[in-house]
Amino acid sequence: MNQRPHPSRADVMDVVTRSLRTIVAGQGRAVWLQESTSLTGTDTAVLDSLGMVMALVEVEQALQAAYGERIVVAGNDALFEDDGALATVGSFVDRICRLIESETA
Amino acid sequence: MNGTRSAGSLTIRRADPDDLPEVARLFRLVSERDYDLPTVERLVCGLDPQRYYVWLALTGGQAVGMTMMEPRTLQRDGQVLRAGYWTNLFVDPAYRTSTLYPRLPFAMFKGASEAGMDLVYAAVRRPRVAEAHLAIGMRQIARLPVLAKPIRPASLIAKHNNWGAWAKRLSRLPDAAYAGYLAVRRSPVSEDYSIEELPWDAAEVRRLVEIAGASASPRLRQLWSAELFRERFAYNSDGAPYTLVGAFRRRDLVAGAVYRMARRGKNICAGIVMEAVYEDGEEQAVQGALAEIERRAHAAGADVVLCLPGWDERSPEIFRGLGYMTSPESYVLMRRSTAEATRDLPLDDASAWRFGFADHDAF
Repeated sequence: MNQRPHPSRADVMDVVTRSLRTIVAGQGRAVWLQESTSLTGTDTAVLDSLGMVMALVEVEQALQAAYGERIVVAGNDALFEDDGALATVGSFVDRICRLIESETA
Repeated sequence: MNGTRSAGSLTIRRADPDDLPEVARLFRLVSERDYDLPTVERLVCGLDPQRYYVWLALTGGQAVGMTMMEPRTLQRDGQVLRAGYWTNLFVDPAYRTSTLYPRLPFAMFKGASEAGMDLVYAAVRRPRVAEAHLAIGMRQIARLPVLAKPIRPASLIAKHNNWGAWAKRLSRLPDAAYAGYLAVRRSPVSEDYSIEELPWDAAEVRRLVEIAGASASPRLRQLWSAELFRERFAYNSDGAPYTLVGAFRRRDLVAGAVYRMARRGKNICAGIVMEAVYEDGEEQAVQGALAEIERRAHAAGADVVLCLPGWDERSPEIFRGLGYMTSPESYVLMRRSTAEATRDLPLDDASAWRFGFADHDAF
């Protein structure tokens, strides 16, 4: 059986930025995203906490659709305990990559 | 402001009675209503650990978020479940981009499980909040439509559209004509019945609770006693009294309904049907009680009467027969199991629950 390859960090970055843009666009806004873009905890954060949760669901679904990766993001309480994990786009991408690694290890 | 308002430096813990001033302050901050300390103390049962659960997010001794849960006992066909009803989630607006949501509800779910509760449940009106709650692990049971009967339609439209005082004055004439039309259209209650207000200490309250229990036996519902029923309708955050209207066939109480008045956004005045119960085959009796509520709500200045008739399969039709229509509002009823025993119970269907505004009293 052919297994789909695990996504690279660049792939995850692509999924995360597309998911964030989808949620932000749903609020009638556009946003420029880069590794250092603030996700939570600041006035410049791109989403409020409800929007953030919805973005995490988008990421979950996009990863499953594109790569068959079943990881729990929005319902993962540990993710929110680690404040740094959702601080920026880059830290979030790193955390998702680690989740994928731990799921497949 | 800079990045100092993240959730990282916060502690989340169960509130105790010493936290009442901070809980009250957050109530005022988020609700923009002038709740005094005694009001909040009564709302949260003095933070008595057995009667109310609040989890606080604190930084430097100051509360910046809280989530609240009321313990309830549910029953269906003899099976008793310990549940927590998720009543409120408040986050200081300055922390809107923090991860307080969903950290607070996660702490609540864990706390409910540790307290031996079988499930946490909630009814959520705002679609975005409902969507987020489902994303973090609540499971949708049903979408319950709110039924509405405009009784001052012109005033309701004027207020809804913010047309101002001139429109309100102009609405009096068409609303008076409409009230006349409603009075003519309203079917007179059969002479077999008498409709009357009951004081809360009346002995008939016990009978009403029995009727409610019998009619809902296949559905999961709050386990009431006469004392708990009275306690439930003793107080609300608006300070509006609850009124109990009974319908008697000769001397026997066969149906009843509870209502209260509420002031909603845009100064819309609503009569709220909190509860309606009736013996099998006594639909006409409960219709008589509801018609009385409509008359009283009109006399109290209501623009509309609202209900959430999730009591049994016949309730929506009873209300539609009285002229109630589906409103644009609905509630998503949802639950999360916090014990293994309830994970696979067949509860994810509206017909498995008896649920109305008596269960969710926030307008």
